[in-house]
Amino acid sequence: MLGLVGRRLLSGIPLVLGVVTLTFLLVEAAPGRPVDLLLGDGPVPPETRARIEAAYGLDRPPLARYLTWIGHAARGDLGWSLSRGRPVSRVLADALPPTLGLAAGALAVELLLGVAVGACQVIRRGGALDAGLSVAGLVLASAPTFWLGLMAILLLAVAVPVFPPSSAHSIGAAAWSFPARLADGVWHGVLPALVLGVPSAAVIARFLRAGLATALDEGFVLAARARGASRLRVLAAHALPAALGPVITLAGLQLPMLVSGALVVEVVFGWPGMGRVTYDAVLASDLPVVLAAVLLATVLVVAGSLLADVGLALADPRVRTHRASSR
Amino acid sequence: MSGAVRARAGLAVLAAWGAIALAAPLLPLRDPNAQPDGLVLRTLPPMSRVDALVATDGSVRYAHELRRDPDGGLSFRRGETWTKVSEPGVTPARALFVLGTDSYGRDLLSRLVWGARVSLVAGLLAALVAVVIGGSVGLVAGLAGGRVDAILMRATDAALAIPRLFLLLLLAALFRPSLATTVVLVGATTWMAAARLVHGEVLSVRERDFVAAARAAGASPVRLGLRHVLPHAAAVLGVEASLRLGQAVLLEASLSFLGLGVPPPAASWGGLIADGRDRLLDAWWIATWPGIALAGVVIAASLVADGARRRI
Repeated sequence: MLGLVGRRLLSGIPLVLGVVTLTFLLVEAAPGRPVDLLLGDGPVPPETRARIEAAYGLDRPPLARYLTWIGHAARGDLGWSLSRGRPVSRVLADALPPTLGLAAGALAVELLLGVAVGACQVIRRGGALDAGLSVAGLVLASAPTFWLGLMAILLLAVAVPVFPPSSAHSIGAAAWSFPARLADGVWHGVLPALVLGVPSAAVIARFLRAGLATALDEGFVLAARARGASRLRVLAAHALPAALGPVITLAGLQLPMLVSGALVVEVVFGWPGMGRVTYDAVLASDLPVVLAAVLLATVLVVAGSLLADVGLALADPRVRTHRASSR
Repeated sequence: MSGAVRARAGLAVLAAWGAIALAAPLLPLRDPNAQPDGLVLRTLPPMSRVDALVATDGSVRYAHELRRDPDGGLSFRRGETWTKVSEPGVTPARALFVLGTDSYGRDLLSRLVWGARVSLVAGLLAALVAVVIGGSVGLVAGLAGGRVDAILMRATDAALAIPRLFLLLLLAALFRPSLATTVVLVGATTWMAAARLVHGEVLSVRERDFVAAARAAGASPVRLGLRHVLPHAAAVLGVEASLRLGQAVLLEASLSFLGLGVPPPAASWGGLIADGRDRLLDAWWIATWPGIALAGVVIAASLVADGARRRI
């Protein structure tokens, strides 16, 4: 298991390095010079321009700046946010917990709802409930996330005011005790997490339905049924574990989409996470924050897919032995 | 509904939207970007009928209310003020806004139809870019084999792991958004699935006899790839293209919704939803129609892809 973690960590390093290089090359290839973003549109005397370029190290050759950027990023120094006047690492450190909370909530919705719906469909295979859930899943997985978010606000926060429509905390919550603040944050996160998680849950349900249907026709399920195991037991204890492996892999593969989707959901719901910060930074031409956010989002995905692999190895012994024997 | 019927229904929806988008200039619709009367026409709910005055040259003025004066003349009210119609030949009429109007008084039906042009063209071209890039990468990797194959497919895996929207935001910050950049950017961040699929197909036919025969006959690597190997991947590519179409339309909509896609005043479906976002509480219809249209196209594209996959 430790070997698996180590190998995956090592394979993640070139990927992160590749992303750093790619983003750097993109900035170099973009029209205009970075200093123009700093100076805005007004007329600036050439000597001021040169002084600012020198102050930010923008007058040095690209390779030197590339090596500096990698060296600093490796030590956790991601530069200075131009629009917020704070170190980028502090800006992102503030934005990371809300995003992780949102992603965790969405992942819980994705897996729990996806497995529950998929199992329901298999129990009622071929019936009206099965067909109805299939159609609902197709619609939910196809609708744009931001539109789902707006409709959720319209229906569940305005027409029937169950959930708060926006932001991550109530007005005046800063003065509350920590548990009250936490509960308040979770309460505000329910709707965003649902909007982010439900479309992925639909995909999971579809795969689980297919996987369970296949597993139910297998010999070991037949054997369990012949021994007189109840329907529920056959489904939960025999078929489900066999069908769960692909679902975990799928959830891991969907992580980049989840992180991307979180960006849109955060913008729609005014959720103060990484997506919101990145979006504001793009609008403010705050390049250091955008670069660092792309990097951090990639690291999150790599870490997440590592967790998915470990989860897969824990859930399915065949994966462990296969990996070990193929080494 | 069987799979074939569903696929046909999806194809019908796509064809219908394609026809509507193509025929948009011929349809009797109002100018999608015109704001003829912000006072009278702003945020009208669907199926609204509005009093209008049609002049002899065909130009239309809108009014809150019309009345016949005792002297037989015509007066109209905008807001609080009544104005007498002075020019001759003006006739009263009723204008219908089927899907309502937005906060600038623009007709949502014509914006939805003209938006289909932008969204579908952007989606189609982006899907094409993705399939061409992905197809080339997969074909070259599969045919070259060895180290080139390993490097290209590793790069494909790596590209899959980058959260797409973050990268697109960075690109949008660096390059001024336009229809062309949106198409290229969306295509350039979604080619990976096509590369994997084509790569797999190429590997499965690479060692077959007809490829060896072509090679022995002296076919150049380019000819070998395009004429002998690629046709076998065409079916897979077709499925991927239709799936990609739906996803590209969605991605373009996300970018436009964030204000980083096709720039206003051009109507694209994502931009229309963004327009409706601020008026969600009092004018639900602005964001609702383009959302339904988007979901419909994406569902249709995935039904078509499902049907096509089942046939191969």
